[in-house]
Amino acid sequence: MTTRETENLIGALSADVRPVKPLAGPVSRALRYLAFAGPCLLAIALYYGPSEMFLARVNQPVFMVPWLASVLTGVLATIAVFHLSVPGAPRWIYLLPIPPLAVWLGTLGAGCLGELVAHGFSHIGTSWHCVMVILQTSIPLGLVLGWMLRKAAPLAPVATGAWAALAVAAFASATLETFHSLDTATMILLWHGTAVAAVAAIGAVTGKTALRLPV
Amino acid sequence: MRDDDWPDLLARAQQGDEAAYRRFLGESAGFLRAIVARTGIPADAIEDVVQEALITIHAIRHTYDPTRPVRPWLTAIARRRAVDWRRRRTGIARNEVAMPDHAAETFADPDSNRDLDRGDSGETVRRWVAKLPPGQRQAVEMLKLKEMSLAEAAAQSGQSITALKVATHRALANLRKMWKKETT
Repeated sequence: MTTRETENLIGALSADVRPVKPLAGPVSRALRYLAFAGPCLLAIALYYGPSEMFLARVNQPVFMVPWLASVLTGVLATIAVFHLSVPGAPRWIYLLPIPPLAVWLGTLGAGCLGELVAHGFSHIGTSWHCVMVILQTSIPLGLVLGWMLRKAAPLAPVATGAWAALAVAAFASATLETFHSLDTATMILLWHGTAVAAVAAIGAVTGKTALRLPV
Repeated sequence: MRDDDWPDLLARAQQGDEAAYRRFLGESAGFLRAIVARTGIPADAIEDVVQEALITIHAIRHTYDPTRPVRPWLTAIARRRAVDWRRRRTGIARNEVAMPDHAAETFADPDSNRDLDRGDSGETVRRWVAKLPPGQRQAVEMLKLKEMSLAEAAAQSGQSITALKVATHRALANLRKMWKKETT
């Protein structure tokens, strides 16, 4: 095509211009989402719990550090995806949820290693309930987040979808822990970690289609 | 080129100011061209990618925050469109093979059924197109049958480029349904 055709296109696009409402800033939109998700998750946590085991662990850093890190992972991943949903976001935004995610998985991993050295594999069991609750909580939260992100224009839909799913799964995992605490760090890492990874993978796959550009 | 005016021009375009929008797109096209060229897109494809970037800018102009610099916003869109172009190109190259010298001995000769097909398939497609809703019919006739560019079709029909793309997409989906219905 030639520059003349580009000029014609510019003429056609200009003639088609209609007023549009500029999107609110990424942090403002992230706060709006958190203002929706926070009360929902709190209601779930209060409806089912908190469990005695969770209350007993409030003073135990080995459990509370990863729990707080999971909440922070959700918050920072939410802020990151709203930045990523607008063209021109700096690349470091991708890394925003990485530090709390590393603390979350790292502290659980260290606890898990200690348990394996002390008890071997005897304390490992199944907890499909955790996987189901994380999936069931993540889906409605993810749909609302996806709906808000579609109003913008994520140029990297796979990464945005994965990070969005990580955000909701981290929130779901933290909420679940308040009323259905697993006995050991190994079990938490195994079942919550697997569920969160699965939700993030689903987010990456669906993000490719659901968050693609309108044209 | 005074790109310090661009945020203001784009902000006015968001309010529906046609002159500001025309000036913004006209001035930023050169910047987009430079960004696309830097991504290694072949020279003969740069203008295609720039046009795709312009259409994207039009579709997502609401995502620009007037308080932020405009260049990173434009750069990200141009680079994205360059990546999309390269992916499409790779997909096409993967499915294309060089025609061998002895192709005539390998593949059927389409002309051999010319007498049988004449007036049949073309007539069928015309019949299907006639059944489409007016907007979709017009889009297919202009873009697919007359092979007009999007800009030309938009100028002639008075429809926006986005509307034409949507109408064509829907028309092709309807034609596909009609084809399936008649062949099964």
